[in-house]
Amino acid sequence: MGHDASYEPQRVADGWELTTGVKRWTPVLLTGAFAVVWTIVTLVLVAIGLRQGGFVLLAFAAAFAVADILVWVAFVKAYRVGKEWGDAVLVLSKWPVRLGETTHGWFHRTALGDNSMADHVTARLILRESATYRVGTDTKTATEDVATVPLEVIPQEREGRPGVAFEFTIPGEGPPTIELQWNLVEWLMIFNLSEAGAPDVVSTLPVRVAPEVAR
Amino acid sequence: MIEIDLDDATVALGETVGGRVVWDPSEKAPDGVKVELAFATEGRGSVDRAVVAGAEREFHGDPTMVPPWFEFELAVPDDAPVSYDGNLIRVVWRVEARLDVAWARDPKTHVEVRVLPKGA
Repeated sequence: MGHDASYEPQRVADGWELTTGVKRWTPVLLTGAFAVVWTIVTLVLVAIGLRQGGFVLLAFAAAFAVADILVWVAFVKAYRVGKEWGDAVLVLSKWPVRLGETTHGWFHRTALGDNSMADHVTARLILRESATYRVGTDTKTATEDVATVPLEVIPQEREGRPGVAFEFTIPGEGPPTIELQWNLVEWLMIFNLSEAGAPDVVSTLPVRVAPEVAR
Repeated sequence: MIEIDLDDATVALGETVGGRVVWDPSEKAPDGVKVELAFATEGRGSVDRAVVAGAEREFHGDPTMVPPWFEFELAVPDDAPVSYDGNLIRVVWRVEARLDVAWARDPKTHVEVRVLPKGA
């Protein structure tokens, strides 16, 4: 549902670790496959238009070609993100997090070939609603961020790896994570990273919040 | 006429919703009564709905001996969604009651319940 990792983190010595892992390449493969298919369709349209000399068909082909360029630009950006940025790793002191409880966290994602954190990192915690519904045979999802909490990050190494540390508290009045077939209410950690010479990247990782108030 | 009287309209996950269904004894006696605790979503998304607990009773014999009430205790599961009132999504909990009346329209009613996280 729109985040980098599943809801099943790995237990580590001092908390719980979520990682994007091999999923870093998934958008690259999907975008590349889509770009290839789109190019084939565009070339077929151009070939038919040239053979028949139809202006309307060539106009369609031109519109497809413009969209094709945009798809390839998206592919190149996804490829550069995959090639130049490493996996995102989020470590939280608690999992699931309880309402009203302060949780400590650490985040790591470095540009490859430069084992330091990005030049600039911002972090925020958001509460997002995702409502999925059917329109005819299509399935659509409406999303809205209903709360945003900016987080202060502090550079901190962990097991020799550079990263940033932070802490947050889910409000005591909630809500907790609500995950149903069509409706989802979830807390997400969003990290924006920028590094000279690499495309900006956003890491989105879920925080499962239990329906329990900490005492 | 049928009514639901709840002991408490606000409960936490893992607790029980207790109360009684009361109906007018001057009207035709029912053959049975059924109570359900359910949640449903409202808003932009398709509806998620589930009945999480229920209780029912059938009445046999002399209808004049049937008491015009039915007491119930319905457990709210630990892993159920809590009540929520957001921008795109609402999660609403209800206790719904229905009388089974032979050869007549079955009277029914419902009341809303607020379900909170544990420890709230």
